[in-house]
Amino acid sequence: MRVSRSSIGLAAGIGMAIVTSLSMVASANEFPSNNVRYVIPFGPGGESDISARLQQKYFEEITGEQLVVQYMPGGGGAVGWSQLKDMTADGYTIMGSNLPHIILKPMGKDVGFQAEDLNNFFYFHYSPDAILVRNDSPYETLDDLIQAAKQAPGVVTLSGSGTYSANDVANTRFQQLADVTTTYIPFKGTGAAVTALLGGQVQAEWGYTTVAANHQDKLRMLAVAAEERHPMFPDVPTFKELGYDMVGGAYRGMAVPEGTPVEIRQRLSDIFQQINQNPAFQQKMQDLGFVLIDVPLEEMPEFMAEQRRVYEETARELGLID
Amino acid sequence: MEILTYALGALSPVNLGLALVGVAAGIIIGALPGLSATMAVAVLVPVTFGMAPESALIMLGAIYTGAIYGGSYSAILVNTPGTPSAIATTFDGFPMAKRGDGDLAVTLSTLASVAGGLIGVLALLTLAPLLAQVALSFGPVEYFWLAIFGLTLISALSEGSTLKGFIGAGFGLLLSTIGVAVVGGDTRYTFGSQVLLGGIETVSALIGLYCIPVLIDLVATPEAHLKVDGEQRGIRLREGLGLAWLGKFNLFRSASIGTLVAILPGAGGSIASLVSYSEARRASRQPQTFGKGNPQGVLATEAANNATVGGGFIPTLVLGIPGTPPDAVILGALLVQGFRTGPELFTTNASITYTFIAGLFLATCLLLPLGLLIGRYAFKSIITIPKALLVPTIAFMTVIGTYAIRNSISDVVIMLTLGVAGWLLNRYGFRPSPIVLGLILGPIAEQGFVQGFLMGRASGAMFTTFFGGPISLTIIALSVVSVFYPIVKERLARRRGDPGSRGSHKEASS
Amino acid sequence: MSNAMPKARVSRGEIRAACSARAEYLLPLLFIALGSLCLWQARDMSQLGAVFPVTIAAVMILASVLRLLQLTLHRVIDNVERHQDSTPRRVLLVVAMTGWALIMPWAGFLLAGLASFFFLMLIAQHKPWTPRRLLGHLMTGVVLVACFYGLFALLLNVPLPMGRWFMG
Repeated sequence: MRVSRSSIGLAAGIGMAIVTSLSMVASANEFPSNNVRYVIPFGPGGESDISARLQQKYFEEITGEQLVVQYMPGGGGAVGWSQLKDMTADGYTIMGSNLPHIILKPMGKDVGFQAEDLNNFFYFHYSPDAILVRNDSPYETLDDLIQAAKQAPGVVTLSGSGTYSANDVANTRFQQLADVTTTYIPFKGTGAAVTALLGGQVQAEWGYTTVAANHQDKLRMLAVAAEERHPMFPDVPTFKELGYDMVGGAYRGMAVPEGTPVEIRQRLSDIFQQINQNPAFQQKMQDLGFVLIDVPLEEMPEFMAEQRRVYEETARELGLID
Repeated sequence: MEILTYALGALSPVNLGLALVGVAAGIIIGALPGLSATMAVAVLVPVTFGMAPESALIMLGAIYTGAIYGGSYSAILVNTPGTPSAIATTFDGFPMAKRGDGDLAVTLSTLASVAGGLIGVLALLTLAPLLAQVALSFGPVEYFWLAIFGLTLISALSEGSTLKGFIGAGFGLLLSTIGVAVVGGDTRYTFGSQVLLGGIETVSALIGLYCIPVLIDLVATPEAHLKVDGEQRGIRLREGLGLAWLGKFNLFRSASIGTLVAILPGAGGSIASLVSYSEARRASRQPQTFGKGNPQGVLATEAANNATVGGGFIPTLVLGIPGTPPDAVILGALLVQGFRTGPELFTTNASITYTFIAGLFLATCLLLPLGLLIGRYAFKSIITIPKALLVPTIAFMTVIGTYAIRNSISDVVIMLTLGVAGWLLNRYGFRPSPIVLGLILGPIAEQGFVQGFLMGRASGAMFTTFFGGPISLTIIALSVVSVFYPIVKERLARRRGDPGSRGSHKEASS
Repeated sequence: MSNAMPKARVSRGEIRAACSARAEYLLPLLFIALGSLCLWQARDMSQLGAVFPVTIAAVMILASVLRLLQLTLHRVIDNVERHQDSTPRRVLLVVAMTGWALIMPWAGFLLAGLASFFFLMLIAQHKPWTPRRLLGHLMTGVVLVACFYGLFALLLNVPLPMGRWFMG
């Protein structure tokens, strides 16, 4: 009895030790020599999932290894991000990283991680914020909506996904810039927020270009918070054009656990940059309404610092921090 | 009838083989507690990228259909609903298994699943655009009332004291508020622990509250887990068909309820099967036998939850709003493949859509032979395996199943804690079902209420917001009926001196 | 746990306790305490976040008070028919499973799984062991654990804990 149990343990231990050391020895050039686990800290079917699924195919084309997408939902991403630091730091585990979530979540409360804990190595796209209305809405332009909100403060209702989320932040900034008061109604996820708009329970929705792309036949956008007009929607103005300095949305990238070797991070960053340059990938992302960006490893600190500055400003407005 | 052309396309040998493998794999995955249809579908998605789109969709639909059905095995044989939609299957399925009718219960669940599944798919095929509008007419306020209606089922479902049922539901509702709130963003009742930030995961709570008490009692006695009659009676198909024929109205009603409720994104299977269960009980001439192994109870819930497969795809395909989590994964796969949901799905992309629906039909039909075969095997292995192996095996499934939901050890610890608490509470007459009902309906009720409150405040008409809509009023009326009907019925019965109603009288619990 | 109907008819005006009569009074008190704790905790929440838990806690307290009233108006009798089974085994099962969950991140899935399988087997066995039966069960246990490991780790890509003791 005793013999058999301890020998099993020994065998298991030796086996695991070998596996671990092998993966440590493998140099950055040979990386990846195995499947890479891609943890999405949200449930399936959302935009993080869909964009990861699109990367999946091209990752395999470039590296010959599979990108295995898994989900770790809960706490608006907090469940996943708080566990990243305990995961194996060999580059074979990467996790989706989302802005502004990783900055806003830890503000003012302990959610088990800090934005600095996430070692982002590449940010690959964003879905620009947008105000959406139904096709039959009386608001033809953003100005119509602003006028309505000015006449009766708080009467214009906008649905959106979650509290202290990208949508909530966008609404706060918009109220500030346009000097209006609206009622923001948080829903669980973009899907539920769209349903409320389609069903006529709210007058407008804070969503993304991706939502408009998905529901082209029933919804239209009033304005997009991007630098330039989206190629899919050449008729929709940007907030900047209309005089409101708003560029933002939900940015998505990938992070690795603390302690992952720099060469491996660089290699991962290169792989995902290569995916971003694939024309077929670009086309598919654009058709879904995403906007591709390239923030490789070396530009990450600067990018994060800038985002941090913007969101801290809004967070003060929301009363999240002093 | 172009649909026939697509149906024939679905019948190619390769697709048939894929559907067969998909259904079988789905059944096995669904039968393991904790392994959900969502996970089965999500694992399969990358595999399907390399396939022809039609084959990929057929396989995804097949594994989904199989997984929803497979959940009934664990519900019947070990009292553990593998998915929230199988909760009500435990009410009568497990008592049937306990008294030695587990084989019959599995056969009934197979027949009901096939019938329910076919009705759901039929609705998807014929009424999809029409029914999708129903999904849109449900706003936050309607969801709030729907959740309240779901909670009133407690008075119909609770054996023993109704007050205890409500206390239990309150406990479940409070459990549901743990974690970071979706609306308002507060961190509630985490007591400083990061583990609780993500809230209590529903399926791990189900496993804990239903399965751990079974294990705890299983080790306490040397008696066998399920009673077995000396003679082997096979799958008892003839008996099952007879019962299904007796309950044909029940099947049809339950499947219709299942389809309709599944159209509402987020409410889904759990409410569908509970509502059809309580309706079946209300319509029955012997309501007191429900919860003690009435075959019609199994028929009702299983017909309802397999009808949710077809029903859930209605908002998914027509509106691009996934009805259930597995639908969300399949929708993601569709988008990645370059398809668009919405009207195009029935025009430009009609071939793909109809092939998919034909695939669902095919998968549902395959459930019959495969389900009977695998079900018989599952039943046999549960009754023949010695207790010293059965206990660690079930324990193993609960632990690894809970862990696999979000790869978290903390969930396992929460599951065990709830299991022990559930066992203790059950000993003192607080059943797990009201607690679970509260846990599932809590978020729907709360979000609906707060959103409705915000909407009412914005429009300045709080009362009309909550009591104005025709749907709201209908649901409120249903809730009132559901609370008072048992009381009125009991009064009437007592006046007539019918002793049969005594059995359902309060306090009759052990 | 038993779903069996009580054999003795309970006459009107009497309430049969699920367990002991004392526990029947104790549990509503426990829920009142829990509800009060929830109310007290809700002080720090925002208005939107507090409204739901406060309502529910109040309803739960109300239901518990009503239950206590109901009990005082009726005669409560002990349930003498309840089962008296092996409590030590129950406790051992819970201890073994909790230990399993806690040790898994350290010992790894396979080792912790095999060890717990063995312990649970011992706890569940009521008949005496024969060497043959023990060996047979052990073999089956190893095969089952291996099957589950294969299903979860390899087929479903679930990242099972490898064990920090071996990871250095």
